[in-house]
Amino acid sequence: MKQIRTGKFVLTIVTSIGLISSLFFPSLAFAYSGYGMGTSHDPYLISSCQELQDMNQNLTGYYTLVSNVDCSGFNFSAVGNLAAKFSGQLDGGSHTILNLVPADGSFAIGLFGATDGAVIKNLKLEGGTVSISPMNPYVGGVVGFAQNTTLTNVHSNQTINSNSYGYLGGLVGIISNNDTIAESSFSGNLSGTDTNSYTGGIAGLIYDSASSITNSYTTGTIYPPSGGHSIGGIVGSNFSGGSITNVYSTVTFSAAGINGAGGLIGLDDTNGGRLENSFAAATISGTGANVGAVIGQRYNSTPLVNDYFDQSKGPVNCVGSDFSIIAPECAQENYGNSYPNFFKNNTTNGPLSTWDFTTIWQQNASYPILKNEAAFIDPTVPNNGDANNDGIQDSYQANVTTVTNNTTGAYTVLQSSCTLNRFVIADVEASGSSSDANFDYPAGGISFEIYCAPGTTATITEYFYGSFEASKLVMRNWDGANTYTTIPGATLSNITIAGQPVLKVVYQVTDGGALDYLQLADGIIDMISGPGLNIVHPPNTGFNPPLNNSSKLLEEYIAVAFVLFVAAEVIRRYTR
Amino acid sequence: MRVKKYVPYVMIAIGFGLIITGVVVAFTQQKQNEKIIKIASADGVTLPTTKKITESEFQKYTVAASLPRYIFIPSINVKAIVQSVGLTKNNQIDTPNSIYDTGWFNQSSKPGQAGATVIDGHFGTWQTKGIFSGISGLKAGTIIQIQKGDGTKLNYSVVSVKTYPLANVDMNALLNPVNAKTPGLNLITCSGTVVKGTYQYDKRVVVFAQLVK
Repeated sequence: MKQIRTGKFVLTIVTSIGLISSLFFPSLAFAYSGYGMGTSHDPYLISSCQELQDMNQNLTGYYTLVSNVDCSGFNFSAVGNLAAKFSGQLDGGSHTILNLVPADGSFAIGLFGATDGAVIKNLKLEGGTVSISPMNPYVGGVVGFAQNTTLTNVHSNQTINSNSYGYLGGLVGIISNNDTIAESSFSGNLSGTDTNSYTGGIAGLIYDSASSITNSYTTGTIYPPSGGHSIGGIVGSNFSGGSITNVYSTVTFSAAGINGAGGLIGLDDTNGGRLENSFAAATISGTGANVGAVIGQRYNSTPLVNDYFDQSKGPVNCVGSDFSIIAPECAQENYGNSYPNFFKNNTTNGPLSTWDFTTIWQQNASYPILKNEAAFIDPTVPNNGDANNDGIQDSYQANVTTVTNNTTGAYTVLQSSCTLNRFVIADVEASGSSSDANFDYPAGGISFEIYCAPGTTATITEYFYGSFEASKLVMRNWDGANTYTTIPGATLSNITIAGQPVLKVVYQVTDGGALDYLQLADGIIDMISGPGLNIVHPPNTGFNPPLNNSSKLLEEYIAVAFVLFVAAEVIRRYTR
Repeated sequence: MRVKKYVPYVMIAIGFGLIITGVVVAFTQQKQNEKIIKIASADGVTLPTTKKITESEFQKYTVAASLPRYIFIPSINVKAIVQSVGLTKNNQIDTPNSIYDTGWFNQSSKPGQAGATVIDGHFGTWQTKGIFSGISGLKAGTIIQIQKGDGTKLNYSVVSVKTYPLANVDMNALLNPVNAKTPGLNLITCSGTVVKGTYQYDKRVVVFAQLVK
């Protein structure tokens, strides 16, 4: 009845086969258990902790997270080690890895134990408490040991407790050679017990001069080992001249008994490095040796350029112990909390007046923040990453998934009342035999898998960005064969989120029920559905054959003419 | 009064003029009809007849057990067989063969089952009123009876009657029960005037009814 058309939903055959095979055969005989080929154009798609773990199967592959991944209870081993480093790419896709706890005892520990030439981006690690035993020196939330590695838009909010000597960093244990960290942050807790360790919010130590940290920040708390050294809000030690630019730290720690502690850098042992356009507002308590608001100890001639610190938070000196011959450009502000408004929406006081408030920094009610903070996860997701407008960035929620809609090019959000969404794809309706004969899908459709307790009735809320008239649409479900049904009780409405028109759809589906793809009460609900526009037209029940009754009209004309003829004859006879 | 001698001749001339004009107009209209009929044919629309089935034919009419066989609306003298109709190639719900018959849209629910049973009927022709010409006047509470092929009789109570512009008929409403929890019966026919140059009336009337126990 309906010809092949474009712009319709339902997964392509390939995707469907993939979904079906993944349902039946979650661990096929491939090294990597998920979708993709591991190339830059077709990366492996990660949607589970097992698939995350499978990066160990191919240390050079390209990987992309397609949903948040909850690793609760998963016995995760760091990907790559000092002998076989990870050199592939991981694009977090603005998603979050939750509750990752890498196994202890592998010398280099983190999501990645060791990397060389790796690219890691658009990723957040949230939750999880990592405990490290002695003799595991390279520990970071993301990478234990990094070289030639780039981290961009990577964030960690983890708790890491180390009992080992070595290098402990919120993101990277040791930045060993030619590494770049940009637009990243740490906001968790770090604690160490071994006095022979370097501890920093971003990294324990920068070892070389070719590495850099830019446009990044740290918050949270550091619990340094009593009697330890080299504690910094950004790095424990900048050992050989790494460059640090546009960073700030508001971490809290006690410097009691510490030798070399600073709000940004504990020990700056560099020659040629740089600390520029940065500020420290670290709350530093306790008394130690060589403790500074910005740098604990500075050697050689590392320039400090356009930096400042909030004196009310701790030490009165920018540098605790300064052996450099170059005076630091490091302004003390708010002495004794005498000028707390100095930082508030302030771009006129130096050194703020010299900073880039167009592309790097932005004013804030308190300290300046980095522009990328407000949209750290995905600056293009509507409503500052909160596309379903629930007050929490979507990427932080395992049950809220925002994807680009392949039909509309806009965003579509799946929100479920379950614990985890997977395989969320907003696609076009397939052509051919599987199309829905009497419906078009102007907003495309959405396929997904959600995890609930077996038998759960889940509430599904979907947001289709774009202008779609809710009153003309119904929510349709595809059973995987050729049968489409209208989802009973689904409500469709038009709303506005952040000034953008959105079609909101709410319905319920029961695990194992008629709408569940496999109809198994197994704790997994699979669905393929979409808002359909009924293209059945009303009947033509008024056809009027003929529309204009020509023969009747002619009869009427002839009748009138006949009357005229008769009248004419009468008159003619009368007047004869 | 004396009538001019030429008056009868003028009248005769006018008469011939009328005949000629009538022929021309009728010919022109016939061409228009043929054109519109051609459009309708191209759309796969079959012209309904105005032939009324006999009582004997009515009684002999049968359908499958679960399908609607007859529809009765005594208050407007509707007593008709129900044919099964699908979609035209333009995705328009098809219509019954005769203006005195009705059509059950075979992609809608069967009577008594969840969803809406949709039945259409003609509004009428140039000279003759169709079976559903009076449904726009139905009042809430009016009973519509459907008899299925197995003889089961189902009574539906009218809930509302709505008129839509042709371009804005609420198809979701038409194809769904007025009460989601109760099997519905929705009747549809034309109303308004024929859109010039087309075979379509410019409005549709939908009667929404629900099953009563």
